[in-house]
Amino acid sequence: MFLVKEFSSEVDSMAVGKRLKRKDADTKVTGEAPYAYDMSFADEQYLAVIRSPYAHARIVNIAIDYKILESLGVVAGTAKDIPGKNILHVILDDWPLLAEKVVRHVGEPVVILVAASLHLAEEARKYVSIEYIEIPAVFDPVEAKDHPTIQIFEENNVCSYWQQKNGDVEKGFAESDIVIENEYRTPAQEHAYIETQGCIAVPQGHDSMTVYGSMQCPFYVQRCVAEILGMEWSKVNIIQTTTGGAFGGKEDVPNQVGSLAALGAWLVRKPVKFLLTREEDIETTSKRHPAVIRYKTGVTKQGELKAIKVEVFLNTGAYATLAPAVLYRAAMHAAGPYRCGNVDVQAYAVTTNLVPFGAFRGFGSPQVIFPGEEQMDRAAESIGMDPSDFRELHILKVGDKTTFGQVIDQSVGLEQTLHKAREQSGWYKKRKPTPTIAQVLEEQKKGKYRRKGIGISTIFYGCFLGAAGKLMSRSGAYVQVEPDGSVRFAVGTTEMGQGMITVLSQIVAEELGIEYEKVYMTPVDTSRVPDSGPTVASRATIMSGRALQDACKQLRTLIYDKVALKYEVDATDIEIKEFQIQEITTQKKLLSVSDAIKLVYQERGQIAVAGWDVAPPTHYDNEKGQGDAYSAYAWCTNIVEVEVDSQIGTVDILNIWAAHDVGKAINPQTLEGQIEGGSLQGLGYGRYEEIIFTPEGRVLSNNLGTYLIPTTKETPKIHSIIVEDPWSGGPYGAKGIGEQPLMGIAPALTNAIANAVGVRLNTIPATPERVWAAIQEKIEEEKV
Amino acid sequence: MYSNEILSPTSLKEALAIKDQYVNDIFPLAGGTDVLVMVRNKLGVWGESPVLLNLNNIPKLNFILETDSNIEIGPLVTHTQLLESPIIQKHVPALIKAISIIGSPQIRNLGTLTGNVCRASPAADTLATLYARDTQVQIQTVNNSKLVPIKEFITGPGQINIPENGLVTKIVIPKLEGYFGDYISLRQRYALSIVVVSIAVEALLSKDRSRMDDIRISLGAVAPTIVRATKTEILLKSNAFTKNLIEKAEKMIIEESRPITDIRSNKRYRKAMTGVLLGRILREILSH
Amino acid sequence: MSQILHVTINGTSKEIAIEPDEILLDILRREGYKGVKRGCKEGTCGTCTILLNDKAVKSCILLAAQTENCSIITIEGIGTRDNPHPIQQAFVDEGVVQCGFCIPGMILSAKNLLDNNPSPTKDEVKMALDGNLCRCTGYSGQIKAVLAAAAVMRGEK
Repeated sequence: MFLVKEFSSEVDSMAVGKRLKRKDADTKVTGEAPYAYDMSFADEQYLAVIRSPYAHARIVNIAIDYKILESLGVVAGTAKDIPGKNILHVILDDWPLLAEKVVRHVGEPVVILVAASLHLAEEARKYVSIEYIEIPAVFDPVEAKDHPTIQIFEENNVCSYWQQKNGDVEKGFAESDIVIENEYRTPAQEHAYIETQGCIAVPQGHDSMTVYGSMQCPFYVQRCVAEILGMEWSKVNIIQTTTGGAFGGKEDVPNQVGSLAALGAWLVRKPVKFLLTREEDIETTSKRHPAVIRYKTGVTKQGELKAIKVEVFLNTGAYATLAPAVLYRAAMHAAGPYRCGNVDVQAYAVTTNLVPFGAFRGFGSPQVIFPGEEQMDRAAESIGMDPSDFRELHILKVGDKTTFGQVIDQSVGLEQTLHKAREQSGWYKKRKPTPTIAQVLEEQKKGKYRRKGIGISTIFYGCFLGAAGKLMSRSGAYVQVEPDGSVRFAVGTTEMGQGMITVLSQIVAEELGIEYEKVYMTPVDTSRVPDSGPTVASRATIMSGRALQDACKQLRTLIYDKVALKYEVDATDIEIKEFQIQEITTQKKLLSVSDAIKLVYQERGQIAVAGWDVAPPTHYDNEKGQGDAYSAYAWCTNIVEVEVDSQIGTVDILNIWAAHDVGKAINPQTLEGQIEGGSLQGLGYGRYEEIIFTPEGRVLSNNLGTYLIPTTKETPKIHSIIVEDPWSGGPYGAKGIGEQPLMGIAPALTNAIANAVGVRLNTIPATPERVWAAIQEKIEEEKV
Repeated sequence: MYSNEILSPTSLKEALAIKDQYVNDIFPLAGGTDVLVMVRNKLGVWGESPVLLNLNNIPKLNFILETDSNIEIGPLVTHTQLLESPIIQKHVPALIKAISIIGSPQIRNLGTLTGNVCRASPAADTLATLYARDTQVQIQTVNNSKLVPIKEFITGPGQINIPENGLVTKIVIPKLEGYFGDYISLRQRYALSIVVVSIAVEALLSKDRSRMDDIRISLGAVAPTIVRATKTEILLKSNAFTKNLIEKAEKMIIEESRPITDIRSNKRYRKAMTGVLLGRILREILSH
Repeated sequence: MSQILHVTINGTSKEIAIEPDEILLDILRREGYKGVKRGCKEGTCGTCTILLNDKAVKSCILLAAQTENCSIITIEGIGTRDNPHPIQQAFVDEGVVQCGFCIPGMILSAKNLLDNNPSPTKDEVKMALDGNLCRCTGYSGQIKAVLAAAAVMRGEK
């Protein structure tokens, strides 16, 4: 692992920027960290869910033998038993908790069973019989859009629409020397977090409800549980347990998992555990939206990018859930981080009878980045230009306007990432001419089957929730000092492995000038801070960070006031330096920050403060297809080196160079962890992973032996390159890193395959079967 | 629930007596790595909760022996033991290659060769080489003991031909001195993965290296069981061993194989790969 | 039909009442060894890895009854926060613990390797860990951590 850092000019900091040890590592290496499955409650019950076996059917009758169930001590619940609303709120309110009249996907929950043991709950299934009438189903989004007879969402099955429009694409194509047009397909990618979904609902009679669970967005779950149970929100408390990975898969799904558990707990007035098996998890919970993308690019022989036209069909599954937000990101990223005067992006989210798809690291952007970066590569190829040089001609720089009309006036590190990635990888030296198929076959005759190749992608990422997520763009924090000089803080965003606890602790340590070891984050609990929005969109560091900065600023004022009083100095003449409070003018050290905190406590000063942050406003006009889509942008260049066996089609990935402009690396170690992990997940998307459905719409690849994520043996060398082009709106200039590492890997990979063996793929993952078939097709075409 | 009962005899005699008594109501358990997954998913005969015959308390069943003509392997021998055995390393190197890709270290520490044979998957890594070697399986009952060729022992995917009171007590692999043996498998990833298509070859060149005195070719995951590519074997044995013959053999084996499309791969690709993999091994032999 | 299982867990002899059909993973967790995790229950993910007679095995595909008179070591038995095993310390130092769910299993697989092979190559480490799936880290840091721990265990650091 190779690391290059470039710090912006800053004074030596005490915590921020340092590779400090993760706060949560100790309990995790000893196996003590409590995940949902590890929690126990007295008299706890277990939940089993009876789910639809059909992709699309009417429910004629639900027959439950309540008498036998009662004798077994099992309680059943249907939609009729929901005390509040039978809706799980995400965005469009079309998602029921339990199906009533219609089921719209295989695995949709219909009946819950609560029993003292899971075995008993499973046994009880046979006492529930549901009569269905199957109706026609549709699984492809292009087919489902405006379907004449099959209705899943309103009349045309389109639950969301976004566009980007600029200039005149037809004119642009007319002025192009070469027009490249293709249809691309991307698969459903499963999160495969190693800890499966699980929630435990603990009721206090019918008065209030606490739900513990593996989740990213406790406030989402709070709202859903409150609405399902018809309870005031203030009576519903959600507490996040140690979460074993999420990647977006635990953004909206816990709404369902937690609410099913809560309904069960409501019915039996006892704690109810709902812990999904791996098969149930893969079969019934969200995945990355599969997509069909039609992409048309026009270029001139001199390398001008004349026009980009994109049509995106996002397959959203049976319910909209997060589709409007995912589609927004897809639409905004579809034309890439380039200057182009003629752009037309039309994006649709279409419902089908598959499992509802949802958030997954990248959130709509990987689906459009794969075709977008393939097209850029093919365009470069068509005019005989090096693909990195071609991109360099068009990438956005400071002061440029994006294709959707936003002028980005700061923090545009893309060019830096491109230069560094190219330099570190030895791009020009490694990039050999793409072979013809005749050359490949010649080499095979001589016994040479393996060919190396190198490919590139340049991407951007609109940070945080953007114009579409305005309403949720606020965050709270709470900072409390303890009598012994240590500090505890609470935020509303969650740790799921990404290192948030560590990074935020560093910020608090930095802001208050105390030792990092003295800072502690309490488990996330909706009763501690107000709704702080979801932990998504790489927003936690920035928004919780700023809220903490706000709180710490107030605390510093309080501390200075008490110190000024005691030491009879001017409150404005005090600063913190190296864990000490000192006078600015005389540089005389007064006392340690820890002691100052104790002083505040002794003097009965206010020892806890709340902080708040609201994201800067952005506005997008979908009618015009133009606007300020996001508040800030992160940038990345990926270079992937592969070795392809031209006879067998296997692709081994040798190296990935991942250069990221993150604004500021608050903890370089956790940052590298995100880059490495995210890059490997992107590699999975491009090379190994796809959910396979049966023709009846059921998930076939439903366990970790058939849905294949990379093991140690698939891991290439991943070289993290950190670039810091600070953003004035982020704490210490930071912008966030969560998603970018995954997004650009797939096309860099397929571009490398093209360079290695001269064939192009329009579908990922690039399995040996697909690469081989592409080679055979080329042999046929060129009649070699 | 996995089973109603587990019986743990401490001698083979006891085990055979129990099997004779319970016949098809009891199933033998060694490592259990496949058995437990199948029981949990109620696959095949494991649909009803069976009684399990735990063989792990019979240490005499754990042996790797070398005789003049064969290697004999007991039913409790794990994959890891085979990997670490100097006897196997010397006499069946293709098997070492096959085993080192099975599952993961944890699986190899528990899973047994006999378990692999009895599971009778057409994709099992070990079976391809065992077929190429004309391996024999020893079946014992309370009354008798006989050796059955593996290709008669395995009759279909997950199906074995064994008397209802019989237990497999030995795998007998003939030594093939002077043979070049190899195994190549294609799979979707390099660990924790089932074979997509595989090939095992055992070949004996004539002294002047102009012909194949003997060649055995087994294919995995292209038929309901491991199959020997008999037509291709005959072709290779009947002609001078040249580059030209290799190309003919590649074409013939593609014709001989009958793979299917399933969750792991498709028919067309698997078929083509049988030719590619055979070609690789044969060219390797030719060039040495 | 219950039976008593006689087994040594982390050095302590135990007699545990079990049903013959119970999986070792479930028994261990019921006995309080929560560091042994369930990620798949079909022998793939590796989070249930324990050492059985000093060999790494996946406890989710093992019947408890199969472990009669055996010695079992779980993550709880190799080190504590105040006195961590060198592998645990290396994982902390190298910053390779993210969500943590794969970690106990991975550490035990690493221990199995280093107890038998004190100077493994990078490839040998990769192979020893290839039965432990991780979704967060990308593995290379963990391989580095195992090599660092090996050096400590050889007395080099």
